[in-house]
Amino acid sequence: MRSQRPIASKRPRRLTTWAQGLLALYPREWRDRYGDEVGAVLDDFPVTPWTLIDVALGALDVRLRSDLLPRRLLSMAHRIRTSEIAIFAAFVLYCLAWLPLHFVADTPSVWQPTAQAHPELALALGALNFAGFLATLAILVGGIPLLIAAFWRALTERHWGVALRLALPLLAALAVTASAGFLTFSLTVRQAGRVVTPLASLTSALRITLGLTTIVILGVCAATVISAIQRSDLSLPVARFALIPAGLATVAMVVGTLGGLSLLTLVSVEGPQLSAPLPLEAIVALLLLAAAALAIVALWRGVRAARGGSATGEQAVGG
Amino acid sequence: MRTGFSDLGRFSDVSLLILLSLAAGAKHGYAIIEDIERFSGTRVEPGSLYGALLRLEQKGWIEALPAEERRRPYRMTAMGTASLRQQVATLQQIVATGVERLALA
Repeated sequence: MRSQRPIASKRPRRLTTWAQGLLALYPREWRDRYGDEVGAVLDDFPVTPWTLIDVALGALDVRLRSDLLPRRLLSMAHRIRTSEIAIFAAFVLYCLAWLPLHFVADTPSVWQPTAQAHPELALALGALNFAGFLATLAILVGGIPLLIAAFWRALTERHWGVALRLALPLLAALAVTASAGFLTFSLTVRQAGRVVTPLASLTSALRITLGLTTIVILGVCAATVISAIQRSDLSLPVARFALIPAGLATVAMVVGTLGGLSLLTLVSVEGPQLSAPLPLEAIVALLLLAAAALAIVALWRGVRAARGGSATGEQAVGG
Repeated sequence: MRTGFSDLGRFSDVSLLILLSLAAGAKHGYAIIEDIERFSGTRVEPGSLYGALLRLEQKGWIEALPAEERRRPYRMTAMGTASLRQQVATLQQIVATGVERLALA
């Protein structure tokens, strides 16, 4: 604090750049919380050599008194990241319910006449599928930049364990996809002018086994990615960006859950011939509800964290 | 001074100025600097400002509002108002004593 200094009429931008650079001396948690706003202040402030000293002393002060960083501020990026991981976990739950729900349309000779007689069945299945694809797209849009950022950070900071956790599931998924594609291509045959894929000729038991194996592989991959993201040190802007598609995925999952529950109800009322065993339907319904509830709570907590804590009842004010 | 300001160490003066500024309404960092310069003729440097804001927030005397782009406004809490009131009363007492003793000298 100094008294009565004239404000510099011509600001040396080089000093401002240096002052911005000195913010790197502050702890990451402090930068996540205050970095943007101090940067904005320095943009407007007539920076002098004394400002540089003051900013450097401020960094030393925060380093020495890091206990002053309030817990809720210290963990802002961490809390947003945790919310996004929870939304991803909700999406995995949603997929576990979404894919088996297709059993209703498994037998076209039964499904098509029933759906024609009761169009609301097709509407509910359409809503479930549309929401599922939208959620998948949103998770990819939000998740891929997040994964790349986490992987790059792990490489540059030599966190090999995190890098391995991120790389292995990706390689495994690529290997499984490539193998499946190759097998499908090489085993596909033409019978009487019709293309017959190998899956069509498999027995139900084998199809279920293949499906379960895929689910287990995807589950292990998802768990490994979650574990890697939890251990990674993502920056606040990346975490905040990923919150937008995470919100879209949440909305899609809620819509899909409504569609899925409607479908189950309609099937039991209007097309009992399409029903699966009762325990399977109950599990699917519970998975959908759990996914939607988890995603909503996680999104709410993530948005609160991104807004800087308890934002309820706060009034908008001008500076 | 027996108020909580003594805990603020070298940030106590800046903290007092910040609270006086926020007593007139919520402001973001640069607006606080400008306001303090206007009413006291003192220019607070950004490092000192945020060192004090961190402590005031930790004490619960101010609270951050949702950010507006890169700027985040702060406002004084009821605890902050009570502390400021107490500090101003102490300063008034000091000023009165100073005036009285200087008049006697």
